[in-house]
Amino acid sequence: MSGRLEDEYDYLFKIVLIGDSGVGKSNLLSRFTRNEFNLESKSTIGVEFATRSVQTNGKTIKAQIWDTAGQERYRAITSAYYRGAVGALLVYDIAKRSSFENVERWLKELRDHADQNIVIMLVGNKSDLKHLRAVSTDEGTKYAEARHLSFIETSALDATHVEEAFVSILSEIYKLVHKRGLVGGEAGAAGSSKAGGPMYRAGQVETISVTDGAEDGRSSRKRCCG
Amino acid sequence: MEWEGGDITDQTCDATAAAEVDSARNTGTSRPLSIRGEGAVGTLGHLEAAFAEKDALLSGVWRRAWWAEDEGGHAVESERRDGATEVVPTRGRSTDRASAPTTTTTTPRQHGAAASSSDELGLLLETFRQWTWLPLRPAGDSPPPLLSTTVDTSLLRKRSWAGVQPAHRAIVWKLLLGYCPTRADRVARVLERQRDEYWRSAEELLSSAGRPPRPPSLPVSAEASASRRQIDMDVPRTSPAHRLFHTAEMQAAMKRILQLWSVRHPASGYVQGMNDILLPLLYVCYADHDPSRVQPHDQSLDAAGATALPLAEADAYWCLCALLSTVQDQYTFAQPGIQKRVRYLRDLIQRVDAPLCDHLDRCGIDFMQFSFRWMNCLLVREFPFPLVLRLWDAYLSEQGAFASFHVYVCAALVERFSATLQRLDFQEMVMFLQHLPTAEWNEDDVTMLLSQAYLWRSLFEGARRV
Repeated sequence: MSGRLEDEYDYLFKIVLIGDSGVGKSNLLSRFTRNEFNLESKSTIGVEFATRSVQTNGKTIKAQIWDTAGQERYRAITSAYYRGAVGALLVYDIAKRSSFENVERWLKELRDHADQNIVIMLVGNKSDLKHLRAVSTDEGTKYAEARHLSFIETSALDATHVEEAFVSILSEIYKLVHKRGLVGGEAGAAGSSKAGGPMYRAGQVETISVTDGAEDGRSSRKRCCG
Repeated sequence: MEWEGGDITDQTCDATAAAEVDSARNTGTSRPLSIRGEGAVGTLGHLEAAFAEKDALLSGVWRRAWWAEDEGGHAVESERRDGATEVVPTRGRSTDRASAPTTTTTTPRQHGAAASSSDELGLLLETFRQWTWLPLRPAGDSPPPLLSTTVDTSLLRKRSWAGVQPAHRAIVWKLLLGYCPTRADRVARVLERQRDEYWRSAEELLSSAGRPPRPPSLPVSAEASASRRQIDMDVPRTSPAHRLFHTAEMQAAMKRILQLWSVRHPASGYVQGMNDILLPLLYVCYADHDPSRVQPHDQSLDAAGATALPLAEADAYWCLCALLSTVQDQYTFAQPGIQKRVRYLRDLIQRVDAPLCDHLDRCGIDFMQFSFRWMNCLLVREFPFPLVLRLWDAYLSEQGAFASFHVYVCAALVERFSATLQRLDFQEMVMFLQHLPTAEWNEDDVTMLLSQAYLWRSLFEGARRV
C-alpha cells in the first residue's frame, strides 16, 4: 500500500497495459512499480492495479497502471478500464510471432473503447530471449512508425528499458498535456470535467483523478482523501 | 424492482438426480463389471438380482482387511462386537501396497438401510470411499458390501456445512456434486463407466490434436485452438506455490481435463481462472488415495499416487463439469453471470453497510475492480488452499451455492474489512481488495465469514428491494 507521502504529485495519469496473454504485462508492471520479477507469476484475472510516481520535466507524475487479462473472453469486461486512460502500453512478446500479429487487433480495441487521444507505446517485451527472437527490432520499429506509435523493446526479466518505457510514455503524455493546454490554470473539477477526457490535473487544493473509468459520465471526480 | 436471490442462479443443476438417471440408463453398453466377476452386465434388473444374491452371501462379519497389511503382509485388524472390523493402519507402509487406499474403519450394513446418525454416516462414507477406489484393489478383493444402502444426503449436507474431515472430503464432494451415486450398489458401476468415458474421450481428443493435420471434414475451430493454446499457457502458471500441481503428471492431467471440458462446452470454452477452479477438485480427488499423507507441497508423486492419479483425474473432470454447470453463465460471452453477481454484491453491501458503500462510491471504486476475480475464480485465489477446501465444503452443502450463496460470502468478506476500507483512498482500496490480508487466516475466520453470509442470505434472499 502506498504511503501518504507518495500521494503528493502534480499529475495523475492512468495507463493501461494490454496485449496477448503471456507476453509479460504483469511482470512489466511489477518490475516498474516494485522492482520485482516472478518467473512463475499467475495469470491475471480481470484487472490488477498498481501505482508509482516518477519525476519528469521537473514534475511529479503519478502513474496509475491497470494491468489487464489477455484472454479474448475478458475483453468485454476489461475494455471498461480503457475509459479515462491517457496512455496504453501495447505489449507483445518478441519471441512469439502471434503476439506481434495480434497488435493490430489490440489497436482496434483501443480505437473502439479508449479515448481517441490516448498515447500508445508499442512494447516488444522479453528482449532477453535473444536466441528465440521471432520479431526483429527493425520490424517492430517500422510497424510502430507506420502507425505513429512510439516503440521500445524491454525485458522485465533483466529490467532492460522497463523504466524507460514507462517514464517515456508518461513524459510524452505530460508534453501533450502542455502542448494542448488542456491542463493548467485553475485547479478544480470544472477544468477537467469532460467525460472521458484524457488529461487530468492532480495535486494542490483539489485533486482530480480518473479512478472510475467504468462509468460513463462520471469520469472525473474529487479524490477521496479518507 | 423485484429482487430475488434465487434469480442469480440461472442453471441450478440437479446433478444428483442426473447421476441417478444416468445410472438407471446404464445398460449392456458398459464394460463387464470386473469388480463383480459376474460376466457381462445385462439390464439393471439383472444387476440388482446379482447384487442381492451376493449381498446374502456376504452378510455377516466383514473379516478381510486387505488394505492395511503390515510389512509382513499380515492384516492388522481387531474385530468389534458390532461385527465391524476396525483396521489399524500400520506405520511405515511400503509403496508396493500403496495402490490400496488407506482406511480406518468399515462396517457392514443391512440391505436397504439408510445411515442416519453421524457416526454411522462416517462409517458409511468410508465404505463408499473404498468402493470408489475399487479398481486399485487386488483382484478378488472387494470392500465391505453395502448393497442398496443410501447415503442420507440431508445429513451429509449438514455435516459438510461445518467442514469435512480430509479423509472423507473426496467422497462427500463427489456425492454432493452428484458425481457419485448416493446408492451404494451403484457406486462402482457409475464411477467405472464415467472414468471409462473420460479416458475414451480424452484419448480421442489427444490423438486428434493437431498432428497429423486433421482432415478438412473435422476442422478445428479458431476458438478451440485458441482455448488449447491458452490452457497450455495457463496450466504451468497455476498456483506456483503448490509444487504438487507442477509435477509432470499433474500438469498433463490438468491440461487434459481442461481441454476436454473446453471442447465439450463450446459456448464458453476455456476461460482463464478455470485452472484455479480445477485445483481444489483435482487435489481432493487425488489426495483421497492417501488423505493423511498427500500435501499440496509434495514435490513428486509416489508409486501409489501415480497409480491413483488416472482415476482421480477422471473424477476431477466430472466434478468440474458438475460444478461449472452451476455457474456457466459466468464464462459465456461478456460473462453476464459475473456482471450480475457483482451488481448483486454491490446491492448487498448497500443494504448491510451503507456508509461503506457510500465511501466506495465517493472514491470511485467500481465493484468490478476487485470482485471480478472473486467471482471468476470462486475465491480460490483469495485464501490459503486449506481454507478454500473448507469454504467449498460449505458451498457444497447446498445446490447452486457457487452461484448464489457465494455472493453473500463475498459480501461478508468486504464487510469484514469495512473499518479498514473506510480509512483508505481509491488506490489503497483497490490494492487492498486485490491482495486481501488472508494469508494468516484460519478456519475460524472462514467459519465467521460463512455465518455472516448465512445470516444475510436468510434476511435478504428473495426479499423485496427497499
